This record gives sequence, structure tokens and C-alpha cells, in this order.
Amino acid sequence: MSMHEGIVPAGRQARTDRPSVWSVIWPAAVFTGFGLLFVSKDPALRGLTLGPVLLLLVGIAGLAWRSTRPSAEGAGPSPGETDAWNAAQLLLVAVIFLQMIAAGRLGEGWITWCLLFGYAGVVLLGPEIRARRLAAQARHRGVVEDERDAAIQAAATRWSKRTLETMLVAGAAVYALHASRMGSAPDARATVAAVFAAMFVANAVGQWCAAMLYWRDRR
Amino acid sequence: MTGTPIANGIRRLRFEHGEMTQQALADACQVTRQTIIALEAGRYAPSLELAFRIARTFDVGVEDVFRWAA
Repeated sequence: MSMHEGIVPAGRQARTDRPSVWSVIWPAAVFTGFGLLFVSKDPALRGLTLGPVLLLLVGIAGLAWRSTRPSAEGAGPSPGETDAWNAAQLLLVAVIFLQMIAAGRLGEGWITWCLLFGYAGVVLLGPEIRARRLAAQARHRGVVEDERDAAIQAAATRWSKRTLETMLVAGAAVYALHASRMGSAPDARATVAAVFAAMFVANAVGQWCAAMLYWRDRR
Repeated sequence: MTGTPIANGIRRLRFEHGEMTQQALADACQVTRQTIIALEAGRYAPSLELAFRIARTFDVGVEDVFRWAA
């Protein structure tokens, strides 16, 4: 390879790293949803604002929105960074739904099933959508993922695994304590929701960790 | 991803080679521009393969680009 091969005018550099408008839509939806819940007069809706996970979601949505700003070098977020922020938020939304189901706030109506099937659809189709999006971006921008993405994802997976192990041990201890003091085990729906919530929280922690590593690299 | 003991002269080499842009170097090395930025800032230690790709792009040896700075 020649030393000057691949040299392009400096003006083209910023254009290729322009952040997508889609990266601010999700945070905007979260902020709007939070605002609606906050001003709502319906006690069931207002009850949702009590969840610390919702506050965490708003915080992460804020950081995600902030990450769309170009760094001092003029670089926007990489596809991996955008995905990490989106996944962290999506997983926290799942935790909120699970909390609501466990607490019986969603009731037995069709909305519960719509939310669950909607989320399942996102989970199932997510990897395919992501692969198509990356392939489309690669056609315009060349490489969109590399060894640094793999290293960051490995670090994120380590954090996710540690979090899941800690939560499962803590959850088992709480379960045993509850059973011995109350004389009965928690109901099945709450137990299943707690296990799934632990998985989603662990994944969200991993994605949040990845997002922070990306952010630190780009400062 | 941070605090690597490996220092590098990528930024200097880019400017010595016709003010090559970060994107151009990234394209030549088959990585993202964000990775070049992280490398120049000393926040990421590259794999051996990427180190050779960068050195090869500048037509220099690996030790002319990277050095142990700890």
C-alpha cells in the first residue's frame, strides 16, 4: 500500500461522521413520556414515575442525547456507540414493563399482551435490523465496526455477567429470607418477573458500560 | 480502553504524509475514524495487526509509530 493511498480532502471528514437524526428520536420519546407521566392526573400513570428505573431511563436518555454531539475532533458517535445507548434504554424499558407486570399495574387487559408481544418482536427482529443497518452504512462509510468495538463489547459482557451473578445471589437470599419469615414463597408471577428483570438489568448495565467506554474514548 | 502505556506518533505521521485525514487513515487501515481518534489520544492500545497496518500505511516500521511509554 502506498503511503498516500486513501488521502481525501479534509472537508469530507466531518460529513461522514454526521450523527443521524434518529439518534435523538428515542431520547425525545423518553422525555416526552416522562413528562406526560409526571403531569398526569391518573394515579396509575403517576405511579409509574415512582420507579427508580424510569428515572434511570431518563438519565440515560439524556446521556444518549448528549452523545450525539460531535467530539472536539469533530467525530460523531460510531454505530457501536449508538447501538449501546439504544440497547441500554430499550432494556430499561423492558425492566419497567416487568416491574409493572409484577406489581399488577398493567392489569389483565390487552395492553399487557400488546406490550409484551411488541417487546418480543423488537428482541427477535433487533439483530436482523441492526445487521441490515450496519450493512447499509458500510456501503457509504466503509468500516463501521472494528477491533475496538469487539474489545468494548468484551468489557461490557464482563460487567453484564458480574451484575447478573450478583443480582441472582442477592435475589436468592431475599427469596429465602422472604420464605422463612412469611412462611410462604413469593407468587410465581413476581418471581418470574424478578428473574427476567435481573437479566434485563444486567444487560442494560453491560450496554451502559459499553456506552461509557465509547464516550470516554471520544472525549 | 484507557490508560494504555503505549504512546504513538500517528498524528505527527499523518501531517508528515500530506496532512492525511483521520478518515483516510481509518479507511486505509480498515477501522473506524473513532478508533484512530482513540489511538491518537492514547486511550486505546491497538492489536498487533492494526499496529502493522498503520505502520505499513505510513511506510515505516512499527517502532517508528509506537513506543513503550510507561
